[in-house]
Parts: sequence; C-alpha cells; structure tokens
Amino acid sequence: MTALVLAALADRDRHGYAIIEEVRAMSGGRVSLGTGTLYGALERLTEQGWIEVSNEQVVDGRLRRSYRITGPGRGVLADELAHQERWVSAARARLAGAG
Amino acid sequence: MLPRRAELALRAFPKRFRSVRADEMRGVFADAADAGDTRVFGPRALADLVVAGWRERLRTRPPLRSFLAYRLVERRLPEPYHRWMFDDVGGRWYLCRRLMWSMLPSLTLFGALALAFGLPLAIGPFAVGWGAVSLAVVILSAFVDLGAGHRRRVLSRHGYDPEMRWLPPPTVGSFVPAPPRPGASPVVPWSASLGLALVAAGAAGATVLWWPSLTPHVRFGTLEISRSADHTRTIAIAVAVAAVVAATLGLALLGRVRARFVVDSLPPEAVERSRPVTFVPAALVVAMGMASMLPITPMVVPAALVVLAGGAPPLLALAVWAHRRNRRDQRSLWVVFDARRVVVDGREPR
Repeated sequence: MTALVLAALADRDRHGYAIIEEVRAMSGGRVSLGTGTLYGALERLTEQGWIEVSNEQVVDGRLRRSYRITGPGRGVLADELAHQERWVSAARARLAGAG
Repeated sequence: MLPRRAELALRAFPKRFRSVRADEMRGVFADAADAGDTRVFGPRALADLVVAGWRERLRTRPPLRSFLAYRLVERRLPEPYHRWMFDDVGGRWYLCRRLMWSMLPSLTLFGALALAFGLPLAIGPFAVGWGAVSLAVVILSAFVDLGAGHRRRVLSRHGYDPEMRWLPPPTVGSFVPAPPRPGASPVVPWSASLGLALVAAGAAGATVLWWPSLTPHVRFGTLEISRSADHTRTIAIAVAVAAVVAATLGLALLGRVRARFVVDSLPPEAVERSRPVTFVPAALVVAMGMASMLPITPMVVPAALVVLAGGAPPLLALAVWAHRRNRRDQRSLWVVFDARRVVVDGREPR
C-alpha cells in the first residue's frame, strides 16, 4: 500500500481521486484502492513525512488537496522497489531452474 | 452530499480525522461518481471506509499503559496522543466513559466483598441489603464527580484551555490550575468515590455493631456476629479504618493543593456556577445508609430519608459561610471546600 501510493506520486503531484486512478492504471486494473484505505494511508504517510500537501483548492465546491512525495519518501520508495526487485529476481531464477 | 449510509460509514473515522479529511473524502466520492464508478457507494466501498476508520482509531490510540494511567489516575498523555484526548474529552459519551471508569475500582472492591460475604447481606430488621447500600454509595459517590469541570480539568492537565487552545507555561507567582508537575500525587475521582464509600461503610459497620436495639445477632451474609460478644475491638477497628481513610484523603487533598499552588496573585475570578447538586447525592447516600440501619418501621423510612438528606445541605452551607467569613486573604486555602474545588473541579479557589 505504502509503495503503491508513493509510486503514484513519484512523477507528479496528485489529489485523492487521481491517486486512485493512477494506482488502478499502474496495476492494470487489478488494484482498486478504497477511499478509506487511501486516506488512512495518506494520513500515515503525511505523519511520517514521506508525502506532504502541495496544493489545496476548491473545485466545483469540492475540496481537493494535492500531495507530493518528499525526499525521505523517495528514499523509502527506492528501498521498497529494490527489495521487490530482489524478490522478483530470486523467484524468476527458481522458476527458470525448475523448467 | 453523500448518501446517508456513506456519511454513517465515514463516522467510523475518529472525529479528529474527519475534521481534517472528511470534506476531501466527500470530494473523492463525488469525483468517482462523476466518472461513472458505480462501485463507489457499494457495500465493498462502504466496508472499506468502516475498516479503514477503525484501523485509524486503533492506530492513533494511546498505548495501554498510558491509557490506563490517563483513565484511572488522570495522568497526562504523551503529546502525540493529545488529539486523541481532544476527541475523548469532546465526545458525546465522555461522561458515561468517565463514570464507568471512575466506578470500576470501587465496583471491583465491593463486588469482591459481596462475593466474599455472600449476598444478600441484611442489615438490621429491614431487608435493605448491605450490598445494595454499598452499591448505592459507590454509584452515587461516583456521580458526585461528574460535571462540566471534568473536561476543563483534563484539558488543563494537558496544558490547554477549555477551547482546546494551548496555554503558555505557568509562571511563578500565578495560580496554576493545570498540574503538569511530574510526581505530584494525584487525587482522582475514583479514589474520592472509593474513599467516600469506605468511610460510609466503616461508619455504617460500626453503627450496626453498636446500635443497641438491633437483634442479638448481627448477620453479614454467612458471617454471624453475636452481640453477646465484646465488640469494642471490632468497633474500634471499624472507626479507625474510617478515620484513616478520611485522614488519608484529606491529607492527599491538602497535599495536592499545596503542590499545585503558588499564590501571590490570582487572575480575575471567572464567573462559575456553583454545584450544589454535588452534595445532594452524597447527602442522600449517607441518609440512605443511616436510614437502613435505624430501628424504625418501613413506613417511616421515606420520612427519615427526607429529614436526613435535608439536614446535610444546611450544614454544608453553614460550613461554606463560616469559611468565607473567616478567610483573611488569598492564602487562606486550607479548607476542604477550596481544596475540593481545585482538585476535583479544576477551578480557581474562591
């Protein structure tokens, strides 16, 4: 969850619904974030200093906050991706060995 | 505007969270609905809201040790949990939670005693159970401490004013309503209720043993005491226990006042409503306990209750009047009423 939200914010700032759409697009439609899950994660990541509010505006009477990833957040995402890559490489090697 | 079921699901999140995020989340729901996402208000989405809300509540809750210290001895919570404290103090059911926790130690003690001696525990010639009287003492004495002063005191203890604004640290020479000093012995509601209950129990027990017109055998559940025996020692122990409890509570109250005060100048006194209702339950409890032990017919009991309960407030009023008349300056704080006002209500002394 943490990696998904951080990855959705890695290239540019996004607001809540845009993050949900981005996660869905990144996962090929397999992961659909619920609003409650997303905002629980946003609250936690903001507290940890991994993301921050970049903009706040009211559009059509709706409050929209955009979030940006911070330097520490990028570090966490990079670590997480490296970990995932190691795991994928190990799994691929075992799959090739079995074939 | 969200459908009602979605608004209800949003309430799973703590108030502090909703105050910051709810409008933004409503915007996300509206964006999703505009985009034609039919699942946005479906059962799965609503369940996600509820689960995420409760996960957030659990995540931001104080650790058990801090929580128990906060509830039972009103210790200050660590700063990361002050927002949780705001929700707690400002919550609709705060006084109910408060009452429950303030009664817990007393109920535990009396429950254990009742089980140990066996219920019902008849007193004197009437079927007023000893356990029932004890329970009434505990419950009503716990009510003594309920009131608007609670929220103020808890906020004050954490360094906030009643509007939940941060207060600057107190300076020497000013009245310090908040007790942020570590190590000061707290007098807390449950200990006050427990103390009152124990004093009443001690006095009632002594009276039962001593009252000459009771039956020759006094029965405490399965324990039967013959009046033919010499009860001087038992009475002395009961009175001593009551006196020790009362003295301990009194000393704790005064010690707490002493620890909290540096009185050189007092800020302008806030206009506060007095709480005579505080004393009425206490008077009723004492009256109930006494009436249940008097050798009078059941028909007279209500009248006796009225007389006994009615007698306490004038005495208290007289004590307050005497104190205020004899007070010479602002240092004259060594009176239980002022101590109670400061300790239990968290208000400034009169």
